[in-house]
Amino acid sequence: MSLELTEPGDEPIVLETLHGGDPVGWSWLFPPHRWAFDARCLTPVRLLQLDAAQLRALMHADPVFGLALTHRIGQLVVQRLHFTRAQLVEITHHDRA
Amino acid sequence: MTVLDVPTQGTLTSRPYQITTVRHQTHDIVTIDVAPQQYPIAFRPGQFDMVYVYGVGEAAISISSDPATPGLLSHTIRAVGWVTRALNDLQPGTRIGIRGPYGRPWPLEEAEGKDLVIVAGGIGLAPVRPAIVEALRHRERYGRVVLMTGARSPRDLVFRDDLDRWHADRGIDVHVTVDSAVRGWGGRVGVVTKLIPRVPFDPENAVVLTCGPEVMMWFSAEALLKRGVPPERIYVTLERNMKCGVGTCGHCQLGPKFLCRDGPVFSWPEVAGLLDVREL
Repeated sequence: MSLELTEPGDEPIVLETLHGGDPVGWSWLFPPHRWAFDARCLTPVRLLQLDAAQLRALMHADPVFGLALTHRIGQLVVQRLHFTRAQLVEITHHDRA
Repeated sequence: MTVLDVPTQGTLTSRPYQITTVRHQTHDIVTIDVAPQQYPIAFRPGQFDMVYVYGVGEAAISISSDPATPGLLSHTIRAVGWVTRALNDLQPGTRIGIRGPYGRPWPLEEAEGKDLVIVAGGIGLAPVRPAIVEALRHRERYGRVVLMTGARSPRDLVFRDDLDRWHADRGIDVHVTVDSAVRGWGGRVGVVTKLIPRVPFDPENAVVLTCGPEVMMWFSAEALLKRGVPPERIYVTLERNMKCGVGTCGHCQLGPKFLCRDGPVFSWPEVAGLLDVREL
């Protein structure tokens, strides 16, 4: 699956490819709960879909579960930020190689 | 053909070679194939030559060819300075000077009986290419042989013919990624270090060779350590500021190490602390 950014009149930019086990995103957790990018399947994909509103309600009702899930999402965000920063360094400082 | 297997460390004599082929890898990277005008000299994967362009100067360039054919050396060069720009513009038939090979090679013997893992970024695939070729020639000596390689974009990938051939070869697992792409690329997008947690190999029984920009090698080492690869089995190659190639001028000195003489291949514990020090 590819995460893409599309600008009118231009080829979509592939930001990242996702593979088995990867979460697609976390916009469901934080307001305004809107996806920022496009996700396109490159191969047949089996997707596990959860009802975001029900999941948020469950997290509020069970704080222990809510904290554990938020912690896990936080780890994924940090990891993806780390990789994205590395991507940015490699793209913008190519001549230092 | 007589091949000399002689110690060249410390020697400053340049030998004449003639360019036989110029292959354009990308818009700014070429591979030049050169034939000796005298006897070829054997080299080991990971070593480098000082390549001299008459009237311009010389530069340290890793050898990217098959060590089993020292009669046809290859050097892969990106145009970033006076000498490398001049090298990129040379045509077949031009004579250049080469002295070497110099430096500590990749520890392929240590990898025997273990998984051999290579992590290469951009033109960093060139210095490990001889190790890959050598390992595939003696495939039975290793467990898994894994290559993870990345580039800034699809057009920056080097040795694409080799990558396609290795990908089709069941003896090596090849994983390619790019930092950025537009739709139509069809492959992975993301930094090469993102592959390290998920590519199958036995971290406790692996030897890893990494080559690329220092920041990439740093992040790769971090990811490999997190996965459980012992630090002493992670190897990097450092190629900063080499001028004499024989441990005399001091330009490549990094703390107590002369990269040309003590390296360019180092185990991670030997250099991790030194790379952390600014202005060293």
